[in-house]
Amino acid sequence: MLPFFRRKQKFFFAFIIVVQMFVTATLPVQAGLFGGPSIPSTSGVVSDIQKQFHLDTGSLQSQGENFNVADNKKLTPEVSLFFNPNDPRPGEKLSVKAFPMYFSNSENALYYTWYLKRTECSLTEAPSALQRTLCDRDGDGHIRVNDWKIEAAQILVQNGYTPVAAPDSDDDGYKARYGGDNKVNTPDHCYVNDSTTGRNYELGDAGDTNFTCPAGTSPVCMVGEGQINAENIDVPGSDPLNPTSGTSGPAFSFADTDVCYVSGIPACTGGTPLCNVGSPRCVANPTTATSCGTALNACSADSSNTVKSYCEHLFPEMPGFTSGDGSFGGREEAAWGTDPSDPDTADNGNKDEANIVGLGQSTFTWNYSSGDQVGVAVEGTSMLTTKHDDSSSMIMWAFSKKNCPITLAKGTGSYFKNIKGYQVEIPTADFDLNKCLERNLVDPTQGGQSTNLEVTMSATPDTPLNDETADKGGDLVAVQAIVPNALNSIADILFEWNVEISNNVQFRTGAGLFTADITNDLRTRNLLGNTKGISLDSLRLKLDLPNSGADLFGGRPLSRYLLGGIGYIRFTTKASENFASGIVRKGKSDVIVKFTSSGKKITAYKADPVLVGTAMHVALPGGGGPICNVDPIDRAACRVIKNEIIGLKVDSAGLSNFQWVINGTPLVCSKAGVSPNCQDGEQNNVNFFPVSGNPGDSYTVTMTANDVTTSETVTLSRTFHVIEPGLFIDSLDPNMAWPKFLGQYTDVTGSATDCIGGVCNNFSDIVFQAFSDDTVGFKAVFLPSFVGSAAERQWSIDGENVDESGVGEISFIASKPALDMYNIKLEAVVVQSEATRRALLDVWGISQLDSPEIRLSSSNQLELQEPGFTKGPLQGPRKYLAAIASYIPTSIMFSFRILLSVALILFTTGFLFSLIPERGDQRSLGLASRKYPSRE
Amino acid sequence: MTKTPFSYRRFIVTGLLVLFSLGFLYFSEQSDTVNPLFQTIVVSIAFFLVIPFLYSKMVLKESLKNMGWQKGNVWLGMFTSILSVALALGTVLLFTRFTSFAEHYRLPNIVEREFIWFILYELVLVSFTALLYEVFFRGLIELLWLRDFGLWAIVIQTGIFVGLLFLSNDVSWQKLPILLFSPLSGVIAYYSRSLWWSWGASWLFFFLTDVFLLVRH
Repeated sequence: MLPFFRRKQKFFFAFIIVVQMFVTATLPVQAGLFGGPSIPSTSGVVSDIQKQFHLDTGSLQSQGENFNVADNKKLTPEVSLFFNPNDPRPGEKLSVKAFPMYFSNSENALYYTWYLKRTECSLTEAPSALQRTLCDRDGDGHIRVNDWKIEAAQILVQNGYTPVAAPDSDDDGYKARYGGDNKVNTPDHCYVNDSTTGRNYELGDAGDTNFTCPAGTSPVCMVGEGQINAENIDVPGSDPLNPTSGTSGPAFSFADTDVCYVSGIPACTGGTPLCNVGSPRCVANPTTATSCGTALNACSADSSNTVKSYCEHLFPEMPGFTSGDGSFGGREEAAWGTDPSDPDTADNGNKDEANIVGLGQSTFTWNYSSGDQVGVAVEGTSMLTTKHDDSSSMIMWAFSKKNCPITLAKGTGSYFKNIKGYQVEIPTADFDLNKCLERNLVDPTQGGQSTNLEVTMSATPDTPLNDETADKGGDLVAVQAIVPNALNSIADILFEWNVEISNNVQFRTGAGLFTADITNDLRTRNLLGNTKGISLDSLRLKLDLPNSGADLFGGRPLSRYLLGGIGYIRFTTKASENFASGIVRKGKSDVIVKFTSSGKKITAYKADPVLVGTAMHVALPGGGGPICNVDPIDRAACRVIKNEIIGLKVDSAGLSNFQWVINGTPLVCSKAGVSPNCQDGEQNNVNFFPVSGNPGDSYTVTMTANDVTTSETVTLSRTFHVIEPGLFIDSLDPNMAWPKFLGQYTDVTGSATDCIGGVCNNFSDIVFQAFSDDTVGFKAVFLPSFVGSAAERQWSIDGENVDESGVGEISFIASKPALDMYNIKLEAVVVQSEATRRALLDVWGISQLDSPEIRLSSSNQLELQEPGFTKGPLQGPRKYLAAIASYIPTSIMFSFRILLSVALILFTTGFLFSLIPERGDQRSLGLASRKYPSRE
Repeated sequence: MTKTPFSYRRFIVTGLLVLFSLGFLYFSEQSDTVNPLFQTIVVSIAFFLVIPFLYSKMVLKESLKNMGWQKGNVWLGMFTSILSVALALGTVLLFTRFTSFAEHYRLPNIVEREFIWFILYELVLVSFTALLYEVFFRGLIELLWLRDFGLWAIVIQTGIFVGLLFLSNDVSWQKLPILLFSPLSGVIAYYSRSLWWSWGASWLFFFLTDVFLLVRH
């Protein structure tokens, strides 16, 4: 768009100028035609033009103002550097890529002069011996930018090659061209841009141009405006600036008005000021001057003949050689450390000398050392044309930090050159661009890391439920932070979390608005884990915030942060990653979670089938209590089995407009189709659902209602897990039959209770112990517990069926001797009643074939012990013997038993041997030694 | 070694000792609280090694030479050992060729993979196991208890050994070498009157069998 407007702007002004020329040229004729020999004012004419063409004065003025400075705002070449990796470690390969802009050359035709400053290689004219060794690459005894260039160029040109002395047999010279490799037969005009003024200076040694104007005045070209005297109209013309002179001239005579207008800037040729239009004058203010000022008669300035314009590459130079001169002999190869037999030592497709001058070398890779700084000067042809009467464009250099002020130049000036018949002033600067290189060094560790970390957060579930009761069945809110633009892995990022609570989503404080940081309060109550740590990208909050005056959060009870049972929790995390260079990137984000907190709860029941007309419906049990109301696990997430019908009820006090949802789907209960407890037309506080899922599935039932007082929405939810029913046998009286002690273990979680000193006892679930002749009892334990009422049970002891002594219980005398055992088995069949199965079919269409019976079984062992031995008094020597025995390793005890057995066998045989009389006679056996081989 | 007359008392009590020992081995149950390997080692040493030696020294008050703990007849020992090992190896070759013995007879993995473990296995475990069997079955049963039964002693001790394996359901291809060499070891002990020869021959046969099958695998 910009070039288009600029073209348009130029066209417009060209048009105005042409029109003005025609208008002013016809003025005398118009004066004759329309009476009154007067010269009309040009401003009046321009005003008429504006009106005719609907040109707004303000717009024209703005355009003109932009036009005045447009030449200073042209885009000059730039270069940007990108490092990979951003956080280099010492010794690591580091690549820097240069991205040049606003050159007319292609990237491969530019010359990239890389320079690398090692940490100890600061510029100095008197380096230490160590610095000379480490940094003085050209051996001139100084540390200059040429040493930095050679440092980089040798890395680039050698590319790992180890110099070996050999005769030069390759042809690897390269002749560099000013302005880029593709600039052939184009005049060389090199420029430097003053980034402050935007002015472009040609590199040259021209001096200042001086006009001999009095102090306080400036040289301008001016034309005078006079009043034509009608009576003297035939008088030969005179000098407009001296109308009364009466000398020969135009066929007008002028009345001296002493009014002049600026017509241009004078040139200086041969010591004489020269104007293309008007006369050279000195005026105080050229912009507003109307007075003709004083005459300007002399000046001094350079011309193109006296000025030496120059172009100089910034290539690295080895002493005695010129880089890019097309000659790259053996000595120069040796100086650069290139392979004299390989024209392309770096194997990058360039000749060695082309690599030295950086032809197309937009990427520079080296082994990074701490403190290294790198820069590049890119030489090419800009897109700006010169004023010279040839095909040239400005040859310019781009620096990595664009920091090359004209103040570094030895001097600035200008010269005049006759171009197309006009004297054109060309500003010049005598400038060694090498002075800019130090200012354009870039520290690789400062690139890119300064951007902030992007932290995104998410939290689940969307609307969690806080359990104010001691059940602690509130939802677990999981918050996850993601840092997509981290340069380190998540394991190296430090997270710091903060949790706030408020009764308004804006988290404001004020009248009736409360907000507080509750991080520490939550941690104190063990509802929140660590909040600061490396790799801590997730946080979990158990929403079991009690609501009482004694439990304060941020100094207030929970109720202060609730409006209609709704509160907000804001999780904030600050992430930061550190780099070896000391740079720290930080990011911050937060997520707000709306939660419901209420003392109300969805109560679950095992629904009863009821016959309504000819269809079987369901109802809340008349006398049965709620299920999942005792075990804390069930209170948190009710365990149910397949084909159960669950009734749900909420205390309706203070609530209206009920809506039920199960797993995101509306759960509708009607009086006509489901239950007499429900009502038609709208939902009430009762609902039912069949457990049709398989073990492992879960249901989340959500009830939403309006608080009749505040009209705020109250949301309650409860989770049901479908499980395989379980059956276990447990002792009726642990004092009579107790689980077998298996050993002890050390609790590493720290969460186990009843563990003295962290050492916990481990008891068997299936092996019990009792004393012989005691009466023991066992009971059936169903999971879920309410399944037991629908189960048919059969107990057996050692394979013989026994009757229950109570509902789900057996009791018997353990009459077997000590060390003997009983095998106790319980089999159960759980089957829904036919009415329930029909209700499943009638209400929800669940086929009776999908609700078969479920068979369960469990078996335990009861080991009997000797009462006296085990029950021995824990006092006196027996206590210590028992204690010693308990500490002896079982392997020792086993060995001791075997030893006793061996002793017993030997004793028995020895005893028998001594009892039996010796009546041996080998002949009496009749077998004896006739086959007995001879003995020793 | 002197020739002792047949003694009913000695015959009966030694028989009871053998009966007690084998009965204990058969009826004893493994403890759940002690490492099974440890139990096996302790029981084996106690009943196959300690009891025979202690019985001989403490109850019978006889020299251990009576149960073959001596050099014995060198020439007979050497001759029968060479003959027995050759015969047993030939039988193993036949079994290898005509049955699936080679496929089922496997050494522990680590022994098959690591040479040092193979050496340790052969020198320590195999030789020790062979010693236990030699002391109890050839020393106590064959030489001390049934020595007056002549060659029948070899048959009976073999029968007891095989019977014990069958009773404990421990008969498999893995037990073939030990079953095979049981009567041959009895022959060596019987003729040489020394457990050393039978022990050495047993170990050599087991070692060569293991090497052969290891190479074949």
